[in-house]
Amino acid sequence: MKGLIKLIVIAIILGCLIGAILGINAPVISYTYSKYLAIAIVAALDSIFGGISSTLKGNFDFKVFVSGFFGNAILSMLLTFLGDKLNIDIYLAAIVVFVNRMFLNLTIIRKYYIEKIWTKTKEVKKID
Amino acid sequence: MNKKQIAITLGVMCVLLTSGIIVQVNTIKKNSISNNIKTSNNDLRDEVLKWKEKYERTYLDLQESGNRLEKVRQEASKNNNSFTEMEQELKSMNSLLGLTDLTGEGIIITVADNENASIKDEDLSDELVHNTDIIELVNELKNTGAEAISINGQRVVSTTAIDCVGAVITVNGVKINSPFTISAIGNRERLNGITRPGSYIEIMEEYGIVVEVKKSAEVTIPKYNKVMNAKYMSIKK
Repeated sequence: MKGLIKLIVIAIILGCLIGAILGINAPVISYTYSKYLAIAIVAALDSIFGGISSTLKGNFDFKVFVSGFFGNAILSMLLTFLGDKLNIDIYLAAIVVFVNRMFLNLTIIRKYYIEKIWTKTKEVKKID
Repeated sequence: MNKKQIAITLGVMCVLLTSGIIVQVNTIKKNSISNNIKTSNNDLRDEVLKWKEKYERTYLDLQESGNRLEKVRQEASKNNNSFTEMEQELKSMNSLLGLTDLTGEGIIITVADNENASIKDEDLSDELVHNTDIIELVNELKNTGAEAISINGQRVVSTTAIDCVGAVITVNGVKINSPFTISAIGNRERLNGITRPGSYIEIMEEYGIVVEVKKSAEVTIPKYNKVMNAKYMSIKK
């Protein structure tokens, strides 16, 4: 488990660096579509947090993760489009759901580490 | 599921995520006019930006279509002598109409509002450039034999109106403001005649407007960038 987390941290940092370089060199998209990209970003962020927390729980599933990553992004973009047509801000609902889930996943990650550190200090005390 | 695979998947997703975020940030940065505008104006701003983008895209399309038409025309007239002649004629007609970019000797007149003008002055209005001044200058240029004229990059064609709308002047429906650059193609020395004593330029200078006339061996004048429509007129038989 420890090796896995180290590997994941390295992968995320490396991924972010490569992504940043790619993003800087990529052309600017048209302002009309920036709304859709924004909602896709929030969806992707949610998927990443979900992936990390499921890895910690030990039930990471490649298929679920990848399909969630793209599926959520596409669905939220479609919802935004529909909202544009109906003149209602549906994307707000999508953002609420994604951010809510992000916090839940963050809680899982936080609890995992708190417990880990807690047990460690207890063990140290016992040895003392 | 092995460790490496999980790490690689997460890494790849992070690549997508970060590149997306940075593209988005760049887009917003490029398009933000000012951060001080009230949020209620955001919708209007969005709308304006969208229309502007649409206009630019359509204009590019138009230009491309024009180029394609030109190419087709050239190819069609390649093998036939009479067609080549017609092509030449068409080209010269187009340049007379104002539908081609032109270059040649001429003069460049720069007219600007008096920067020292203040409200305390007796008649502030005299120290500013008005649409009538521009009309007068264009008229004089035509009198001295100008073949093509543009005002701040707006070509003067047969349908051009030089209008006053509050604080700015419109030419071809496009808002322009001081300093005004009037370029004209024609015989340099003859065109320079508009600086003669007693000319309109002298009168303008007397009133305090800043005028500068420059002879040039190469003046470029852009083409008329709008579409000419003729709906009501027809050729008399």
